[in-house]
Amino acid sequence: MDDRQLDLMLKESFNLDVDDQAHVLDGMEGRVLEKIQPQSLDLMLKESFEIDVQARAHVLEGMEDRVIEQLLEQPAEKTSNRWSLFPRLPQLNLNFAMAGAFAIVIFLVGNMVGDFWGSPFGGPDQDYQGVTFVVAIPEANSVEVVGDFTSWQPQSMTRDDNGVWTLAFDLDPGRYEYAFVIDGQEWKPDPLADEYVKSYNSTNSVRYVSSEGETS
Amino acid sequence: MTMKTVLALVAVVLLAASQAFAFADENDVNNLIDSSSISSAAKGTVAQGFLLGIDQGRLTADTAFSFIQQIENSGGDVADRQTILLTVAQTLLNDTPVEMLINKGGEGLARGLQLNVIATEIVERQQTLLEVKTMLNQKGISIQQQQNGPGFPRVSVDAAVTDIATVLENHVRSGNNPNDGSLLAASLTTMQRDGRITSDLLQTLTSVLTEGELAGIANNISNRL
Repeated sequence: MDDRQLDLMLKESFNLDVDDQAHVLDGMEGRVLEKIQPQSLDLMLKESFEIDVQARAHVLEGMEDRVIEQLLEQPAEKTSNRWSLFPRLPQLNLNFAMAGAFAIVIFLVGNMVGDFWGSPFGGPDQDYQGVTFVVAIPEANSVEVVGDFTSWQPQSMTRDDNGVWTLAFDLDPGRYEYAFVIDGQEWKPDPLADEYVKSYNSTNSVRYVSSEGETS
Repeated sequence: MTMKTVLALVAVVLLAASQAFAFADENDVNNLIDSSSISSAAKGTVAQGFLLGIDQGRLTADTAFSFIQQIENSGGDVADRQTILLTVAQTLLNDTPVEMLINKGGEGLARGLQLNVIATEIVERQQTLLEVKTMLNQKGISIQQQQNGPGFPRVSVDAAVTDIATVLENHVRSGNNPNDGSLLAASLTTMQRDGRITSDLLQTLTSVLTEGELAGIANNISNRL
């Protein structure tokens, strides 16, 4: 008889024994539970837990001191500055923050500039009209506009490649006196003015601005 | 760059901008007049006039401050400075617009003229403004003192007075004949182009203004020059 045949015989014998004793296992779980009362189960669990706690009691000795010691050893968070008075800002994308801040600055400064050049003699702000002043003086090094709409403070014009100087203003409808100042010295009337008037023994140009458009 | 840096930069820019475009207020105007070189007696009238004008909305505190400062810094004779400031103040106390006077003052300074030349021009033009304003008042054109009350808005009446005075002054100073019959048409055209004058005031002016009365004021201008 070889080993393989022996294994097969033992296996068949084991299966026969199991089959013969299988009836013993039927209903065993129920019979065990009937023997153990609920009170005695609780008692058994409690005793088992107390034994475990007593076995581990030495671990709890000095735990509070050890926890405090560990906390002190950890590095403190950076909260000790004036910004901590305010609620923490969410971690925004700084590009958005920069763009927002820039927009606020532009808005506020724009308002200030707008107020600065607003109507100096009071009254309600009216519908501003874009008015462009144009003069061709190729030989000039600088050309400025002065007028009652600039409080007679010179405003530099921009030169193009052909020597044409331009500058635009937003003006209320009305009548405006002005002149061009060439190279910071010579006052000249505008050849394209609506009319001319004498002022201080010189000539001022006059531009009318209507509510519909640049000039009437 | 942290959020703190961004906020700090915004604060710095706003502070710089607010300094660059700082507006003067009535206290600044008052303090400037108080520290000016004009006589103590004149200071009271000048302050009273300018502050009334600011309060009525005839000029902004910033414009008043800038004008007084320019005159003070012009380096001219104290008497001329006082004449200019007193003339503007008295015009305001007479419930009359000063836009033309301040513009002519600014223009004279920008042209680098002597202060006495500017003072003379301002006094002459003040007379014209007062005459035009009196003429309109006599025709029942006055400034509305309260909302829905009789009269016209201050801005409109002031614009009409300024426009008519400007036309008459320019006509005479340009060497034209005060009696050439063109003053009424020129005045009405200028006022029609001025967006500040309400249509009902314009209609009233068209019906009550006469060439003869305008010519009378123009002749007075001619006599003063």
